[in-house]
Amino acid sequence: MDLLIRESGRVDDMNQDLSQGRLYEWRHSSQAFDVAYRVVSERRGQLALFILLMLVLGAIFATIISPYHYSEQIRGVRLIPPSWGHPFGTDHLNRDMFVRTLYGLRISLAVSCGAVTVGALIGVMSGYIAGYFGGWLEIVIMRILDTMLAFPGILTAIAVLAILGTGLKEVSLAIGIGAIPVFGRLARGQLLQEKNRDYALAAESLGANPARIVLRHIAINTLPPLLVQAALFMSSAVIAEASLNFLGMGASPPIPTIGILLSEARPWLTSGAWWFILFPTLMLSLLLIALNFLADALLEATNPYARNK
Amino acid sequence: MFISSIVIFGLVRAIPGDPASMMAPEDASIEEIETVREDLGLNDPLLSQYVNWLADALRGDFGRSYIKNLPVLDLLRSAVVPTLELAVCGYIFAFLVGLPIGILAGLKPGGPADYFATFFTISTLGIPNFILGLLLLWLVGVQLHWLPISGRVSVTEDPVQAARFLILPTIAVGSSLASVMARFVRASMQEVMNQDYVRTARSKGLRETDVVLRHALRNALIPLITVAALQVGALITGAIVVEVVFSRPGFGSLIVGAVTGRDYVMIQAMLGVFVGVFTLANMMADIAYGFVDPRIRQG
Repeated sequence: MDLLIRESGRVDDMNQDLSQGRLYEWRHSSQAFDVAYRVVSERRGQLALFILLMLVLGAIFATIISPYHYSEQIRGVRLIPPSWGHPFGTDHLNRDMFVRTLYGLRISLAVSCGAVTVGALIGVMSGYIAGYFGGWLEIVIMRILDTMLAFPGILTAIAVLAILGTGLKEVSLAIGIGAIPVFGRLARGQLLQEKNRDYALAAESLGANPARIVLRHIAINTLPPLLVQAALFMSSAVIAEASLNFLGMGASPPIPTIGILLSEARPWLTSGAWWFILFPTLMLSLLLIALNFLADALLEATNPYARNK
Repeated sequence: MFISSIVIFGLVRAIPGDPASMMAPEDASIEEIETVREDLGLNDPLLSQYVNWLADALRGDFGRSYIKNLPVLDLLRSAVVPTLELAVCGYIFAFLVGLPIGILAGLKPGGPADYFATFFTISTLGIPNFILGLLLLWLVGVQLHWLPISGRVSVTEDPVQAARFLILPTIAVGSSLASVMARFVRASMQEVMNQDYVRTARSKGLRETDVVLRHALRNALIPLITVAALQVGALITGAIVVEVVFSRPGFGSLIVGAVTGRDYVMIQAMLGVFVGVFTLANMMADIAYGFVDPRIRQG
């Protein structure tokens, strides 16, 4: 039959997919592969992944790319503009801005990944528990989440930092805690939609225990919006991390986070040291734009309604 | 609101470090520290501490800052005007910039205004408010010498100078909100322009401006109220960070000092105020919603 259609020369959309054979099979073997394929085959997704890849590689291999250490004070290069030896210039303490910026990027990535992990794990789990069991447990959990939601923006993080003290791990945890209610509410809503679908009821009637039903059967179907949310939140975590460090509530100065670099650059603006502020900003902006593009691409890949008509 | 007050109180009590030993002089003996602690009421049971704090707070007495040893209320009062004026200006800026861009982009998708809106959105996504503040500082303040770069002048003293000091921070605070609004109005506008009543208005022979402003816009703006209210929190936290960038006095410097100095009376009071403002904004949005769209009131 397949052969017949192909020989007859009427190649419509479906058959084009069929004729691609293995790619088609691979794409449709799992939703995850399909989403990955859609992200990669779209322009914004490609751009986002490319920028992210470059930034991540730069952050990981910062110490190999640059011969300097982030706190190393190099003789005779105080506040010099970008040159071949120091592509991003040097700062007021004779340190190489290139390695410091890359290092800051590394910290931004690590802290925001940590925050996403904390926020998504705790949030999603509490949302699942609330949604699946219902009753008083749901009321209690949702009340707690609503209360947390009353603290706007990075204020939750500031409140948590006031307790934990300042530091990078604390910043990561604090930002993550701020994200719990968003993930929690989203996960609960998704779970409630899926809970009474036939497949979930079937699993239940087969005697599977709640943990297995939720994690094995329902979780995979509630994943797409959570994934989009995670990518979106990652970008706000990067901003929050930079802001908190800028305010001096994060790491202490020798460690170069983007926020600290910017707050160090602040008093030197008047002296015309533009590279001091420009490069950290540039790196951060690239990261943020890439994350937002990725979130858009993920949304379009996972949600057919969001695709451009 | 009530639950938040318990949370704030509990949270802040969990802060490690003993405020009594920080308040007392450095060479104080253990007995002296104990007296200070007794004075502060730190030895009372937690519940009565909470009740006392809440009762005082509702009467406007937030206690004394441990570090500055001044009444918290006075500190808050001195900070509220600068922060509020910045936040309000940022809000107005966001409306003035976001709405026209959104409307124009929504009327002609793919037109020049739409491209500008996209460009505007992407740049505000990539540049967080405090970095925009730094960039403005550098470009307009340092390179062009157009505007002063740091500090604040009270409006009552010298309105012109005050405005000059406010311009850059306002842009920094308001831009991201403006882009959120522009994006939202654009989508909303596009949807509304395809509605039947817009076609009816056109077929009545109304001028296009009348159609847009009187029929389409009013309906397009309804969902914006929720967005505008939800963004109040982001706006205030934005103002806090931007204040630090421009070395303006206000909540920003206050909260940074309080957190790094573990001034828990101060933190308590400020969190309370912020949550209050945020809750109020949401309530006002609900009321405004019913006002603009009568269907909600009946429904």
